[in-house]
Amino acid sequence: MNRLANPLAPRGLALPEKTRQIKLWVRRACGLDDDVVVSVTELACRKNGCPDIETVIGIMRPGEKIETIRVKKAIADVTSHDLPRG
Amino acid sequence: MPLEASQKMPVTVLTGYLGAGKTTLLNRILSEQHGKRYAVIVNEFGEIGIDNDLIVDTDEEVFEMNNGCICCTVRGDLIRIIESLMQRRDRFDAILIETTGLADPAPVAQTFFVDDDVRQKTTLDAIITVADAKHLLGELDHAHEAQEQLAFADIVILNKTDLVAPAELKAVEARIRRINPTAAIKHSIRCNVPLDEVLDRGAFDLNRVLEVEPDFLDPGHDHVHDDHVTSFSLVTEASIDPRKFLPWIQMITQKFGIDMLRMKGILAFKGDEDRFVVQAVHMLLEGDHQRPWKAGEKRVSRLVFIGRNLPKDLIEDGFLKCRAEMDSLVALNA
Repeated sequence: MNRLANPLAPRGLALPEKTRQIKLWVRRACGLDDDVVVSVTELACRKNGCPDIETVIGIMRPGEKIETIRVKKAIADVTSHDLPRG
Repeated sequence: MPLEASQKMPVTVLTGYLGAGKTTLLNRILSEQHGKRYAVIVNEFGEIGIDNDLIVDTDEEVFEMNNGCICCTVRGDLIRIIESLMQRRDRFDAILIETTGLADPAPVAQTFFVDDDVRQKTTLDAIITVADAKHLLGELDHAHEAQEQLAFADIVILNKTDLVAPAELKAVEARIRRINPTAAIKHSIRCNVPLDEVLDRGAFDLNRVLEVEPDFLDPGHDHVHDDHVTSFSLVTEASIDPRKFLPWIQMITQKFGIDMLRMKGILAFKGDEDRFVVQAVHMLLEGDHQRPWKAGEKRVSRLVFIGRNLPKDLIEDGFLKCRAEMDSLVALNA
């Protein structure tokens, strides 16, 4: 049967290897200890005004407010130059 | 390597208003022999009768990934704890999260759809809401949190049923149904539900969308309660045109997602031998082909919306226009 492309298909995982690489860049740049959790998420928000796609990096230091870095690119396109310098 | 769905750690979320019986259920899950080992994330450490290092206490920490956008808001504390727990994943089979009585269930649920690390390692199994049969009606009148916890539920454990008369119990159940017609309701005394009826349910699996037939009340039933959260269902026996439906449901989700707490549906697309299923939590929308329609199975399309002040007439009109051919459509109020 000739089916339309499904725009609602469940989202795949965004490149685990690249995600690990971004975490490593962030850890090095910010000099983070092992007890700090770094979260990397690709967001494609449907809300008007939000970028079509962006990578949100959460730096979760114990007992501190989460620090957020936003890169208006897909995870695949993020480079170390998009991240803050240590 | 990404984990297969079957290798992901199932996560059950336990919500419920203050004093409903969440901790009683939690202690049962932790103490009874059911062959599964649980890691538990709790807010009130002291109330758990069991002490082991797989019980982790936490403070709710809302993480707005996109400034102010409710749909991109997750729970930072859960991301941290799940990361830490998964380093010991050989020591347990599933995770249980107990939220506070006043917690907003949306960021908890969204953590499992938005955050890539969490999605890679875990899968949201079901949201269980424990409700106190004696006090629920009063709580629903005064607390939006109590309504939203019911709205998000896949399973409602209607607890303390021994404390109410049969007529009162019927009224409580009817009120729950008006808010959430798709949840399975289990009656209990001291949360004595069979645990296999509430754990390992796969409620967010697209293969099980609307497995529980929505239970709508007779439209003539009294509507004296002006609930903050309500529900409605749209049904048609006419086949649906996917070229109209798919962009329409995306538009509806984008426009009304902030107030659309949950949505589920099964669609019979014209010329398609498979059922198409959709589900959403706020703006997080997904859908896919599920299984072939069975011989003799009535090809009925149904969408169930649960939300805050959703414009039923407008949504109904849009759905009607997605029919491949004009046919009768029935909208039922909850």
